[in-house]
Amino acid sequence: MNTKQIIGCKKNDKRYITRILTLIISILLLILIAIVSVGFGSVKFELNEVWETILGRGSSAASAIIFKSRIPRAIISIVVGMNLAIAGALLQAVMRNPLADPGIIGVSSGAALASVILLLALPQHAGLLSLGAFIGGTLASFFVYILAYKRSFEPVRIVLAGIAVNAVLGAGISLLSLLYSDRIQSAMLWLNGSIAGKTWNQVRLLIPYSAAGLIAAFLSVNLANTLLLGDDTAKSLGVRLGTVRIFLCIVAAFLTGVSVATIGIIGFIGLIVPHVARLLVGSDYRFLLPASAVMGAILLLVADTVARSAFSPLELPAGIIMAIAGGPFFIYLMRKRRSYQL
Amino acid sequence: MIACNKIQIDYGRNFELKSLCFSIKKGQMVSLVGPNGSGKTTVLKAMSRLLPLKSGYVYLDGMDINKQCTRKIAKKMAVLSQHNVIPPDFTVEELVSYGRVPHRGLLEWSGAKDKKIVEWAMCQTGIESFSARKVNTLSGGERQKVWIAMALAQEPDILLLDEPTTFLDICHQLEVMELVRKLNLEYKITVLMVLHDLNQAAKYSQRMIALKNGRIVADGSPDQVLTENFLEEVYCIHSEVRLDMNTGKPFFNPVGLLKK
Repeated sequence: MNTKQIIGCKKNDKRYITRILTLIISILLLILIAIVSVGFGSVKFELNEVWETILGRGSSAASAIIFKSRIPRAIISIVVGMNLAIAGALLQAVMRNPLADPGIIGVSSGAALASVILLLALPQHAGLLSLGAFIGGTLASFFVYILAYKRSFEPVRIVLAGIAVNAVLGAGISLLSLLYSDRIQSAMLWLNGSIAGKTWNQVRLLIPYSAAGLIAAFLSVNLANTLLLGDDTAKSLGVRLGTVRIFLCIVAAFLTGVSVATIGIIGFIGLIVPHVARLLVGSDYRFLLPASAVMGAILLLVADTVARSAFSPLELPAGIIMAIAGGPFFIYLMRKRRSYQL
Repeated sequence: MIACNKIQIDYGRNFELKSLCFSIKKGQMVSLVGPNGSGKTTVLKAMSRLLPLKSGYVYLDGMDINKQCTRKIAKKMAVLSQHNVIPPDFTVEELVSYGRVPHRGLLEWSGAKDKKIVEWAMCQTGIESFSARKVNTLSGGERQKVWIAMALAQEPDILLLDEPTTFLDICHQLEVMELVRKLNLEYKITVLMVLHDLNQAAKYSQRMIALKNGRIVADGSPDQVLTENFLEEVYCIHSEVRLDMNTGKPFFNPVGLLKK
């Protein structure tokens, strides 16, 4: 994989170096934030305590908290952040629409309805939450594609079908919340995406599926790039447009489904992170995809850390923190770089 | 080289192509002309597999293009559409290198050979001096050359162009046409282009095919096609057709509208 050669030409070296540097710096930042975040929570640890514990020289209490709760939490934040950001970046290529995010293909609301049914109407089966959410998300996005299909897949029809399906599913969620308002507490945390109380069990479930999805995503960077050239150009370059769109949608739906099944609904990452990454490294998916992954991981990790330490011992859902902090940051970026366009 | 056999297309809005047949020989430079809405672009899109056919066949080197692997076709045929989406921050060289997409596997990255061909394509089109600039900072004429370079990087045997000179000033129009002619003469690339400017079509092509209402109304060498009668019947205008002393090709001067 000779990236240097693709960029070629010495005149472009400066841009190439900036892109690579941005990537390296954000990876280093992610590692640093991960280590620091492990120290935060209802019980605080200093950086050197964390370090000692990771090296296996800490107190037994510290290592119990750090290894049993904090590290799996950090891993889940990182992986889910990557999944959602990459799903969003892929969907923005498929739809050629800057407002596309994993919510648009119905995954999130399908998963939400399935889990609300399990949590509120059938609490005796709450153990099936992850599986139910995944199936619900998959069914909903499948439904969106079926509705959107008419001889071929047009991005606009997918968006419209997505809006319609989301509206119906959203109504279902509201209806159930009203009917079972006495039990709504248990669903609230999940609907707002919370990483509280997650353990190695969830990590073990999450990692293999995410790895498969992420590999598929990274193998399709060239395809995503050809979609940027527009339908006619992509077709005349011999790209099977319909197949590519469906494939990328499935990858995105899978990554989102796996994430939502693990921690619940987290909006915003899939929409915002690809834009931030695009501002920093440009729209070439060979750089955009890894940058989105790293930045998505950073964002969710920070959000979860703040969520569990800002009002300690009360834990907030990470999704809320992210929306509060990320929205203004995005507007700041958008206004600072006026030349920005998708 | 490429042939249409009884192609029919429904394109909505009461417009259709009716059973069109023609074939183009290897190495020819052919223009499709006709008034607005006559179906020129539709024919070109059908021949480049961008539009599905209602019936009929398009053959490229004797094989049905809608039954062949689309990537295989992309190695033989390059298409330049009228409206092109410009990716926000791609440089000229990056964009041209997409012409290599059909030649490499989906998971392959471009190699030394690809790079050489991209450089060759940029050299041929005279854009190597600004290869590091972003495409969306270029003027219309420069952009058109970049798209032609991308098509050239596909190493095609046949090039389909949809109104390559529309929206360009006269100098850039001539540059683009001279470039296309050079590709035709030097590299024996067969060219089929939709042109609005009849004088340009007559000057640069060996054969003109005229369409009106989805039918072929004239087909032949420029001096057979571009006549005063033809302009009256197809475009409803009075005109004077003369021979250009330098090129020996016909050109016309519009005199006025035909009174109905």
